[in-house]
Amino acid sequence: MNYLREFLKCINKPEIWIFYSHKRIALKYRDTILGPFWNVINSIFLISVLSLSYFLFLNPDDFKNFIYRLSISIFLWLFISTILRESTSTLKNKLEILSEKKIDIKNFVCENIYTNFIIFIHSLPIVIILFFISDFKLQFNLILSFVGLFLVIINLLLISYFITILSAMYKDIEKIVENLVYAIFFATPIIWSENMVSEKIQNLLIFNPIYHFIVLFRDPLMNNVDGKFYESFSICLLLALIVFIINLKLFKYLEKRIVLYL
Amino acid sequence: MIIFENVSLNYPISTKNLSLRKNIINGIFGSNIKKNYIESLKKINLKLEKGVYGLYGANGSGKTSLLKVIAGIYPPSSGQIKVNGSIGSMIDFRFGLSKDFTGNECIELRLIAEGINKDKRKELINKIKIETELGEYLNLPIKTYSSGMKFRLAFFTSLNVQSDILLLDEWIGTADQNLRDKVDKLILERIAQSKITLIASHNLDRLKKICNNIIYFEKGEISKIT
Repeated sequence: MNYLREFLKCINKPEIWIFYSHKRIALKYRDTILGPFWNVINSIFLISVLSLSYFLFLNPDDFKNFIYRLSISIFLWLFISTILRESTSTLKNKLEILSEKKIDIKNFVCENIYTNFIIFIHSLPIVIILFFISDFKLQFNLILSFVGLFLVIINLLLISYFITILSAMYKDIEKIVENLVYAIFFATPIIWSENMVSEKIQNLLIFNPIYHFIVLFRDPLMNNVDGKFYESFSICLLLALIVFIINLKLFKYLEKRIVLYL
Repeated sequence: MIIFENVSLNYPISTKNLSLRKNIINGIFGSNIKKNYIESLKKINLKLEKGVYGLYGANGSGKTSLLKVIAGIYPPSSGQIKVNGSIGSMIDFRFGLSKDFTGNECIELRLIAEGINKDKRKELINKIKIETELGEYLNLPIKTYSSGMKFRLAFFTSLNVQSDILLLDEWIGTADQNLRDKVDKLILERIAQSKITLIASHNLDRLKKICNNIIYFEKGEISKIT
């Protein structure tokens, strides 16, 4: 279980990935007035356009609840999709350091997750404001949303490691992930909801892991903790276990050699 | 002590084996690629105890690969390597020098990567700042630095990381004449503090002046030791 031990060591000694992460955010938003809040503004713009279209074409009764639901989904989607996309380039800019010093590459996987998590939490004030505007109520179940988010992050950590290793070896992975991310956006109930589609399509959603990630975070925030939530929770646990087992193989045969492929 | 037992290092050739399509096709129909790697090191057997060792050979003879295997950067493709002691390396002077980072950030990153604690780091950063003589330039991104300035930054940062084993690769390359004498003196002081030092260079006269033993490399193999 060296793989798990090394991951825990990276998490317990976060100095290197926190350093990189803070520098990356500072560089990305250098000389901008709003810093990481630009990301929130971009999301608000997208949500506004989608909400307006929804309002004009469908004229719904539950408009404020729709905006709230859409916001949670979009913010979480951006968090997930950016991590997946950036996993393909995690090691690209690290050759300077990796060619001089033996550094566990899991540090850079943690950096990717942490950087995007910081950007993601900048959007939480918007979610809180929209929560109080919506018809949903403060309930104890809301806390399950954070439990769900924790499980989503564990899954993303494992998936990001998988993509990072493979994309360092195979240059095609970057394009595959890029296209998959586009496809998953439309295949996941982010701008549409489950009850808008046929039962057959609803049944297919069980095979979409991103759908389960979104259910884990979104449903408790919408006072909706039922069998579907626990089903998604179990599927995400199973997914984490499967990716963990695959990663054990990557760790054993590829990780130490990956610097030769950069 | 450093012990090599039949250590080989195969370096993958990117153009031949990094296509996912080719890998899948080869997996199904069998591979027609005879050799998709370069043998950087071929069955090296070596035992290094306290002393200063020079590594001499042409470009691509395996000197840097050997240093990187000792540093743990490259894993051996076969064989075993045993290294007792902490390692300090000056192999690639780009170390930590991401072009958008400032000089101060590069120093801090290097010291974090070496696992130096926060208090000690603060003390070392101040020392390195003085030694580099880069002054206000340390607050600027290093993409604005000349190659000599980058060398100063990387050299003095590396010099302040203490270790039992010191690995040096063509360390003098970009230094100007004024800096060379100073660098030579400091390197010799640093070598004296390390138990084992390995220096890779094309300059045989220079190696003969500094080293107890010289290991000659030819096409990934040790041709002789003097």
